[in-house]
Amino acid sequence: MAEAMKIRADLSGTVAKVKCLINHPMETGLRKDKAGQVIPAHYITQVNAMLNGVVVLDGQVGSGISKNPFLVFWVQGTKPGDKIQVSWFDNMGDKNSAETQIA
Amino acid sequence: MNKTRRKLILGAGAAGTITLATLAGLAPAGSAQAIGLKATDLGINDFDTVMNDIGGLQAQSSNGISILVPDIAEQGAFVPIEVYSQIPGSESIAILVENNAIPVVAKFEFKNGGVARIATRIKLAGSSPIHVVVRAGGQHYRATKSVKAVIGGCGDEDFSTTMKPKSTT
Repeated sequence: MAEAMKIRADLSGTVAKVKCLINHPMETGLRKDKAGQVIPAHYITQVNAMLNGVVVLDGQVGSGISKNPFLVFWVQGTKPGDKIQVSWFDNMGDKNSAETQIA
Repeated sequence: MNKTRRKLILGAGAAGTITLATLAGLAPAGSAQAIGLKATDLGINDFDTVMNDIGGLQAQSSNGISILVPDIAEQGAFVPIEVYSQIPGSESIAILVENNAIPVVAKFEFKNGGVARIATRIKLAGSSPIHVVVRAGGQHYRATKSVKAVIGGCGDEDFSTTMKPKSTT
């Protein structure tokens, strides 16, 4: 099961800066362990962000993103109290999401 | 602060129950086609093929794209990158690392107020040019920046040994 995410949104003017930290191994499927066995690929394929239920960011991601992905994005036209939700899906069918209010 | 943290933990619990439902067989599939990238692109090894699919081969280079990335990356596994497109009407940003085994790192689409700006951390297998392709108003624009990696971040190297401080000097 997916571990908890961290999310934080800071407002300056009407633009919100959203920082998001996801716990995920992001295995490429190219690495080998000490016994020479290939470690199976396990990475996030999709990241979505929603502002009050409306999609603002639609990201398609590969294994080239670092382990425990850190993502920062900006959303225009926001005000305090707006809800930001970030969710991800990986190639093994796992997913998780987190929600925060813009402060 | 504590309030936020409690909310986070609650949120994680709720998300956990959804996850169980997902494992029962609701895995998302085929989402790749939705945003102009072929489903296979994320597994393709050939840089030119990927660049063509993404529209980067016909793209004109632009000064409106800023790529903030260190010139020399000490650790290829965690290279901070920020991409900001000031081209009006930017719809999407794709990040490609030419010398990686799988060149496409990510493609982000912005809509409904999302700013064409993204910051994250990426892996570099070795020193490589990083290409950014931006789509704005049906046109493609590109920018490139080369990064030198001291230690690659995609190989099968054992980090416990590579991370040790060097004994010489």
